[in-house]
Order: sequence, then C-alpha cells, then structure tokens
Amino acid sequence: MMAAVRAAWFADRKRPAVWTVTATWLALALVFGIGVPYLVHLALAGDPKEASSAESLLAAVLPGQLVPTGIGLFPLFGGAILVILGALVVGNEYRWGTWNLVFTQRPRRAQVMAGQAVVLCGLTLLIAVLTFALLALTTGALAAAEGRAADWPSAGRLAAAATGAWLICTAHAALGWFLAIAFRSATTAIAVGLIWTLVLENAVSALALALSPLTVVQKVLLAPSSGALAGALGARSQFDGGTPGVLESSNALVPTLVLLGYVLIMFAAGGWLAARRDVG
Amino acid sequence: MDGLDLRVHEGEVLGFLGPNGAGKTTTMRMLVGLVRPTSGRIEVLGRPPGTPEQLARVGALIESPAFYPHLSGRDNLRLAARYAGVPERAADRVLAEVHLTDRAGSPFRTYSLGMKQRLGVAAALLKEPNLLILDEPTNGLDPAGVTDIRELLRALGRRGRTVLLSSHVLGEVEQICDRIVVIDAGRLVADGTPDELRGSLGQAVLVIDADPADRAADCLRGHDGVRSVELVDGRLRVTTDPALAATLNRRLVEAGIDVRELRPVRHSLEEAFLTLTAPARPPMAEERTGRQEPATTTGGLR
Repeated sequence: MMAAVRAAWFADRKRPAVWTVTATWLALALVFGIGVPYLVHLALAGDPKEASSAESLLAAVLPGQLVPTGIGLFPLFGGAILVILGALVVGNEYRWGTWNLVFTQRPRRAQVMAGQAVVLCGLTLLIAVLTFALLALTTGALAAAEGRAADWPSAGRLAAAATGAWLICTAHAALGWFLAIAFRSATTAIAVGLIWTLVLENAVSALALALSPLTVVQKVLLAPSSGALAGALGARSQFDGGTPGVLESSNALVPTLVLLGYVLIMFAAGGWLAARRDVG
Repeated sequence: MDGLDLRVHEGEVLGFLGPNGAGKTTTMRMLVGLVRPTSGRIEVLGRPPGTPEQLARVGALIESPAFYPHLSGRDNLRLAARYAGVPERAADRVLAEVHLTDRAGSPFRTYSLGMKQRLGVAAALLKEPNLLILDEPTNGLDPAGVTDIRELLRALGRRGRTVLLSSHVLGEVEQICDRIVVIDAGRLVADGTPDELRGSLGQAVLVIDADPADRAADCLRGHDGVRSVELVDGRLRVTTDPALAATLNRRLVEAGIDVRELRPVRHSLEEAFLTLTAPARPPMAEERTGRQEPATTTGGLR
C-alpha cells in the first residue's frame, strides 16, 4: 500500500496539470475573494453615499473576515476546479494508456487506486491550506496598507474552516475522480461533473425554493451540502450578499456527513470499477 | 480466445505467432491480469495472473509502450520501480541495457518510436523477472536497434530467463526462439520448434540443374521417395526427402547425366505460418499439439 502511495505521489507531484489547476484556483481565490471586493471598495471610497458599502467591502478583505471570506469561495468556485483536478489525475491514465504500466508492476489494482485516492486527499488538503495561507498573507498585507488592526480569527476557527474547505475540495475531487474512471476519460468526466455540480444541482436548489419536497433531495446533493457547510462555518449566503453557492445554515453536521459520504462512496465506487474492469 | 492451452517451459524463448486479430495481445493481457478470461484457468509461475506474487516475477511490454509523456524516461522507470517495490537505481541499469542512458533525462514525449520501444523493454526488465512477456518489442526499431534487442533476448535466454515473444518479423522469431506456437482465431494451430513447423509442410524440394534436363526428369520419376518432378526454368524441382539427395545424384551420374547443381530448398517459416493460418485450412491443433507435450511444466505457464 505504501509503495502505491509513494508512486502515486511521485506521479502527481510531477504532473503539470496538478500545479496548473492549483495555481489557477489560488489566482481565482485571490481575485474573487480579495481583489474584486477591494477594487470595488476603492471605487466606492470617494463617494460619501456609499461609505458604508465601501467600509463593509474593506472589512471583508481584512484578517477579521478571513474565515467567512475564505470558506465562502469553496462551494462554487473551488468545487468546480476540484472536479477538474480529480478528473485529470486519473483520467489521463486512460488517455496515455499508463494503466498498462501501473497495473503490471506489483500492487493489486485496489491498492493502486487506494494509493491514488490517498494522494488526491493530500493534494486537496494542500490546496485548502495554501488557500487560507495565501488569503491570510494578503489580508494581513491589506490591513497594514490600510492602517487597520489585524483582528485575526482564533486558531480553532481557522482550523475548522480549513478542515471544512478540505472536505468540500475532497468531495468534489472524488466526484471528478470517479467520473473519470466511469467514463475512462478526463474530458467527459469534467464535462459531466461541471454540468452536474454547476447546472443540475443548482437547478434543483432553485426549484427547491418553490417545491418544498425537493429540499430533502437538496440536502444530499454535493454543491448544496458544500454551500450549507460553508454557511455553517460563517460564510454569508448568496441571498445575504455573500458568495454564490453559499447557503444559510446553522448546522454543520448534516452537510459534513453528506460530504463524507460522497468522499467514501466515490472513492470506493471508482476503486471498485478500476479494479474490476478489463484494461486495454 | 477459444480453449487455448499454452505452456511455456522454464528458460525457453517461445515465439508467439498469429495473424492480426488472432488473440495474441489478448492472451498476453490475460497473462498479466489486465484482462480476465470469461472461463478457464490461467496460472503464470504457479500463480493466478495479476496477483502481487505473480506480477513481481513477470515483466511485460504489451502493445505499444505507454508512459507518462511529461516524465523523462528515467522518471518513468523510477515511477514503475516504486510501484514494483524495486530500488530506483534499477532504472539506470535497465536504461544502460537498452542503450538509452544518453536520453534518459528527456521527456518521453520527445522520444522516437524506437526509443519508446526500448524504454518499454527496459520497463519490462526492471524487476529482473523470471518471465518476460514482449509484444512486438522490435516494432519501430532501426536495424541496429533490432539487432540490439535480438542480442538482449538471446542473452536473457542464455541466462535462463523465460521469454514469451510475439512478433510479425518471422526471421527474428526463427533466430531467437527455441519453440514457436501459432494461434489463429483464438485457437492453437501449431506448436513446435522452427524446424518442426517448417517440416510440417511436408517434404522439401531439391533443385537440380542437370543436362539434359528432360532425361534427368524421366530418370527421377518413379524413383522411390520421389513424389513429384517438375521442370521449371530449365531446372528440376524434385519433391522428396532431402536425405535422398546423394542417392538421386548417384542415379543421375550413373545414367550419364551431368549434374551441375543439386541443393535442397527448405520451406520457410513464413510459408509454414501462411499455410497454418490460411482461412480455408481446418484447425490442426490436435495433430500438432499432441506430439509437443512438454516434459515438465514446473515453474512454467499453463
């Protein structure tokens, strides 16, 4: 098992797609989490009628709002990027035909797939931590530049937010990973995964506002659960002027269990399929 | 595959032949567990295919070599070594064996077809396997590369490694392999040494340049062991056992006929292959496999 993990880490850390997707996500997080609100703040700052809006926009990019600003980015933007990452790390094995090489070395296929899943979980943890680290650096720098006090969140709250972000990332990456195995293709998995999470699940969420029976379905969907977890961890909902994808929620347990379920089911189903099907 | 019973003896280089679509690659995939048979049983080195114990002792290059395009040749082998649980320094050893050390640091995507093929062979050698399964290993290699791989396979055979080699280059198979099996439409149609396969076509032909040719033809017709005599381009083509060459020569000389040349022409492996796999020919598995029963299957593949 450890051999499979070491090998999968070797392959993934040298895979350009991993770092391209990670860099793209970090850039998006900076632009949408900090850059855009701060630029709008600057644009409104000179207008006395918009003073309160400008002040709340500035507050959102200072250390005191690090947790809600950071976690709020993950359900919609982060989820989509992580579906792509999960699909790429396994889907390209089919495109390049490298399963022939990997599956004929020594470990059982189930061990190979478990190794891949472990490394993907490591990558998503890295992405969640890097995101909060980058946002912390930027908000700290902005606080210094604006002459504001750096009112940092507690370590426990920050750790909870990073863990929640990791879970959201891993659940989405696991979906992309499973779809790539199911379709034996990264591109099909990305297309289906994005349509599923961005279009279909959001459509169900929108319909649930009018059709109350759909709220039960909504609770077990990936994107709404991610939004609910982010809301429970302090992010403002999209209906409250917050980030798209975030839902108002006071309970983190249910969305956490749903997301954990996605992680376990997607990895187990993907591993089972890859181990069972013929290669070539 | 259709009831294929294939045994590879320990330490032999076995040629695995068949026309396109005969099932060679599918068979090889089954031997390493990439494809599962719908029925029947496979044991490789006494283990079911695809188990860690079996894979640890088998090296394979099946179809075209597939590696990570962004990784160098060396890194691809280091990755395979990690999966295989062998020291990463083994990568440099096998790169040297296939003469790829100079380009070991270049990305795989920049390799020529021949270099990719060499890397595929290197990956198969990485575990120092007891059994090597090679599907068209010289595909795309230049003549020097073909010679290198051929020498490498011969050396492996001398070192007691068991090699299952699929190739469309029959001359190569003839030179390297101790034994050849031929499959067609998923069934075994022949199994024997290269000489036995050639011999399976029946008697060889003696080409005789004699003067006068028509008298020589009359003289040989009806001789014991001579099946036919044809006059082609002024020379006789006599279908017979080559061991009768001296007797026939004596008969012609005693009849006052000048014999300028007398040479046996053996059937080529290509002729044997084409005959064995001709669409109209009925399957010959029973008659050929019967006399090739291996003495032992210990450590082999069945």
